[in-house]
Formats: sequence, C-alpha cells, structure tokens
Amino acid sequence: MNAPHLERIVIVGGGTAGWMTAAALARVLDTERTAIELVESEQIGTVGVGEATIPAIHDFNRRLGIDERDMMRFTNATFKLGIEFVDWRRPGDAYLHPFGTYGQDMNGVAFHHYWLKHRELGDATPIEAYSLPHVASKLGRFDYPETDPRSVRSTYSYAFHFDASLYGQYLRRLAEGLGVRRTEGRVVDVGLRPDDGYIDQVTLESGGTIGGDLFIDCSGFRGLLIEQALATGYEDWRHWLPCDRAFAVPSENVGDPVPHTRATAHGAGWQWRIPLQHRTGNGHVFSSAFMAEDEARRILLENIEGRALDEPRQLRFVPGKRRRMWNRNCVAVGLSGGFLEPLESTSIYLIQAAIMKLIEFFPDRRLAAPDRDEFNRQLDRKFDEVRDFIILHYKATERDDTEFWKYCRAMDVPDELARRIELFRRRGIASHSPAELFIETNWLAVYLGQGIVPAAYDPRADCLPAAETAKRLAGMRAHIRKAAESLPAHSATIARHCAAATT
Amino acid sequence: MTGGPVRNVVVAGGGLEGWAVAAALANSLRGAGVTITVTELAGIAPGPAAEHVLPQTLDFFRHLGIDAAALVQDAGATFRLGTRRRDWPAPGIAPLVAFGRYGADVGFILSIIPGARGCPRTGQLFGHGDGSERKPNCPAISRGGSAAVAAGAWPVPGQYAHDEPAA
Repeated sequence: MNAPHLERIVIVGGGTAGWMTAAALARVLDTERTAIELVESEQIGTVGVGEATIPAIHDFNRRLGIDERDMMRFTNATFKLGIEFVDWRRPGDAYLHPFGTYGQDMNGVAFHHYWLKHRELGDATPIEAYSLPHVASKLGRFDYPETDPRSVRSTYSYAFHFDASLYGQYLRRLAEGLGVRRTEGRVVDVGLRPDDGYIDQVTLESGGTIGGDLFIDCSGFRGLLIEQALATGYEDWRHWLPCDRAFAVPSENVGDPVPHTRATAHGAGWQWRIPLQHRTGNGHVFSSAFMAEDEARRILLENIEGRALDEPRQLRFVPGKRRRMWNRNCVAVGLSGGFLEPLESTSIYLIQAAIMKLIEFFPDRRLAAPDRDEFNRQLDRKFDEVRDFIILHYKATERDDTEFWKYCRAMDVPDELARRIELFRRRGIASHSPAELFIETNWLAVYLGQGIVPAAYDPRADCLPAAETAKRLAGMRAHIRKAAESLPAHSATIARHCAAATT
Repeated sequence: MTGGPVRNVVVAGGGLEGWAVAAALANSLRGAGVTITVTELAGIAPGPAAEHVLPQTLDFFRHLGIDAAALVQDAGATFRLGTRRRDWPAPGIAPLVAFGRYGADVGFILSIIPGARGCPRTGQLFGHGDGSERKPNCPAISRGGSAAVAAGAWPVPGQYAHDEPAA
C-alpha cells in the first residue's frame, strides 16, 4: 500500500548541486503533482570548483536527455581522457590515470600480470604504452570511442572539463522548462515542527515563507538546513586528508587545450590545471597546518601558465562527511553533505550519486526510516570509497622533502585501504568489487603510478610461453600507437563538434 | 619450502569435488609447470548418482572448455529452468522459482514513482557509474563494416597469432 505522495519539495541553494537536483527530480516526477521549488540568492556566490568530471557523468546527462554537444558548447567544455599526476611519487616523476584499460587480458588473466612478468624479464616498457587514452592524451589527440569490442578504440571512455557554474545554468533552463519554480531570495530562518523536529518551512529575507514535505540542502559548505538547523554532525577526516584550504584562479589559455586534467604536487598539497575552451581553471589545494596562506597563494600564481584573469579566491573546507546525509526530512546534496578534494574529479560525481540514490529510495509522505537508513548507508560507502582512493595518492609516495609529505607517508590509513594495498603489493590483485566506482584499471594506474609494484604476478601468466607473450605485447603496443596517431587533434574534434560561440 | 611458486598440488579424494578441482586447476595452469595429483581415497562412499546444478555452473563448464550439448548426451543430462516447490510455503501451493528475471525495467528510474515521466533509456540506476568500464559507458561511434574495425582492430584472443601487428 503506497502512502500519499509528496506534495512539495524545496531545494535550498542553486549552485551546481541545486540545479542538478532540480533537473533530475523534475525529469522523474510530475511537477503538477509534486511541486519542486528552488530558492537561491544571486548575492551568494557558488563554489563551482568541480570543473573536471569523470565518465560517470554520461549516465546523468543521458538520463536527463541532454544533448552532449549542445551542453559542451554552452559550458565551454573540452574532452578529458584522464588525469596527469606530476611530482606525486617524487619530484620529477609523472603518470596518468587514464579512463581506459591497459592492454588485453589473455587466457582469463589480467593484462598487468603479463606486463609484470616481462618487466621481471627485463622489458622496461612502461605500462602506459598499453593504454590508448594515455598515448592519445600525450599526443593531444581525441576522438570518440567506438562500440565494436574488437576495436582498440573500444578500450577507453572520456569525460569533460567544463565551467560548472554554466553547467548549473544549463540545467536550470532544463529544470525550469520541466516546471521547477525558482524563487530569488536569501534564507534567513528555518522553522522546525515542534512535535518531531522535521523542517516545516524556510523564511526568506523578504519575509515570505516556503513550506514543504522534503527539503534538499544544496547550500554548500555551511549546511544551512542539515547542520545549522538540524545539527546533524560531521565526520572530520583531516587526519587522513590534511588539505583544508584552496586558492582558485582562472588564467588565459596558452596553446590548445589538452585532453586531460593535471594535478601537480607541491610542498603541502597540490595544484589543479583544468583546460576549458576559453580559459584554464587553476587551484592550489593545501594544508593550513603545514603552509601559510600567503605562501600557498604565491605558489599558485607562480605555477600558472597563462596570465591570471582574476584575483585568487580562497576556499576553506574540512574534508569529511555529514553524519547522516539524509536526516529527518532533509537530504544534503553537494558540499553540505561532505567534501573531498577534487584530486580525482569526484565532486560532481558525488552530487550525482546522492541524487540518483534519492530517486532510487524516493520517499512517500511517510518518509520511512528504513529507506532513509539504506540511502545513508549506500552514500556513506560511496564517500568512503572515494576517500580511500584519494588517500592512496598521499600515502603511497617516496616524497620526504617536506613535513607535509613526511606526515602523509607515515600516517595510518583506513583498514580497508591498508588491506587493499597489501593485496596489490604481494601479488598484483587490484580487482575489488565491480559495483564500485573505481575498478581494477583505476587502482592499477594509481598503485603503479605512485610506485607500488607487486612482488609477484599471477602464476597463470606462465602458461603462455614468454616468447609468445613478448610478441603479443609488442603487437598491442604497435596497435595502440598507430590508433593514437590516427586520431584527430583534440582541438580539431572540439572545432568540429562542439566549439563554443565565444571562441 | 619458503618462497617461489607452488609446483605440486595434491587433491586428496576423487569424486565430483576432487576431479572438478583438479580439472579446473589443470586447465588454468596448463604450461605453468605445476603438477596436479589426485589421490582416490579408499573407503569413501561415492557421491550422489544425480545432481542438479545452477546456471552459474555453465560458466564453470565454459572455463573448462566443456561442450554443454555433448555433456547432455554423454551424461544423460536434462535441462532445468528452476525449482518447483511442493506444499511449500503451505499445503496445496507449488510455486516455481525460475532462473530468470521478471519483466523489463521501465524508463529512467523505477516506474514506481507515481506520475513518473518516461525516459528513452532503460538500464541500471547509477550510483556506481564508472570511469573505466571494459566497455565505454559514454557515447561511442558504432560503425559497421570491417574496414573501420581493421583500422583500429584489437587482436582478438585466440586469433592473435594471425593478426599482424601494425608496423
């Protein structure tokens, strides 16, 4: 027996998270039956840090019926084949975490075991040579993948670099077209029902009120509803992820945009470089316990390539997660729910995951506790998973040139991550669960890139004679090289399909 | 006996389990220099004369290179689509638990949301959308014709030896 449906959903905050939520809910609900209202104030800036995405965003866009090329033109987007990590393992070192597989599995054994075996036999070819997105990205080339599994061009995926604020605006148009009502105004008070402490209504500066059955907190770091009104509590992860500040600044493009994000490690954090069609996004994420703000700002400006287009803007955050993303009749989506530094470009993914889980466990007016608990449990797992993957980048390093890196090398990591590192270190097992966001190929890229090399390979790799394996490896490398060289330049693919009007 | 790869495996006991283990190991480790010995144990009663298996067992057959059709003939097998329970959960009731799914998912999300709009795509809810699945989860070009495949063809396992690597 289904209980009565919700009559009104109120979304507080209109940044990327707010409009993603509004558009997705409007896409699945009949807004005549369940009204969706979004309150935002033009006076409050949005953070818009997450300018780099991961391929999971295709699912979101597809389900919303978004025309990808139209969206890319609107948001000045470029294509992304992976993330380049510079100076992470040690100064002077670099690797790429590509969106694709390495080589070809043979006889049911993962490719990297053959690579490991031949490395032991003296073949010094880096594993990158077996990744098409890696080789293509280094050549500055991009074209869409192919579906035919026999084609080497089926071995990669891609994501976008875009202006996250414009992506929000793009979704706003979509959401308003689907019946979402937007109210301009600053929320100054949150009224709770006296009997159960559920949110009853929000009061605007103008004096007006908006009531609802379900409230979505997209108000950013401060958590206007989930924390300031409901005091939900926050898990602080600074002992694992000491970075708690960032300076962000856009700069002029120098040359054609490359199809990858770059993350360069510094003395107490790292710097992102995100190439868009019309400018480059830069930011320095650092730990205030290990570096003064002036120094962090200076390092950022010294390490951007083009002319800065603005003054660096400061962001303060505490890495961690709200104790319950869904508390009473309030769901936190975006930074109000938790913050993880964008080292693996997961900010927008975590928004998307929260929205999709909310839809999966979409409540009726009873707002039953088991649904809420399951939602919280599943989202907690997502956050933990992303957190552990990010911690790996700090923990597995040879750097000891600053106090920050000495701390990271020596720190304890979550048990699950420690278990996984040990499993890989011993015999190259990087496959954990197919239901996770990061699968074997992602872990492999980061383990190897950060300098963790397994002590042994899968013994089944010995079933193929070494000479035959060597021949096949050479064939794969040649295929990949040739395929990469046959792709058009990244800028040519943009110009052909999705050039923004302003460039 | 420390370090180094395992060279000798002894399976104690034949029967269905012993020979299944031995066959799987021998198949996976063929050429890897591992000796597998099965010792039939005296005084152990034989296993059941008839067995029923789950669909997942077909994966095991495939792994071993067993032709399921030949097996049906040689072992006198019959096909199985599920289990019919009799008088369970109550006398007179005999529900069939079938190997398969019910219906098809509808639309973008679950169709259980009243008044939900349809959506052109079906599929899993995401939440674990993935950066690097084996198949691209992104818009991709589907081109028929062998020319396109030849241009970027991956050597197909098993045919690899015939596939000339690009110069």
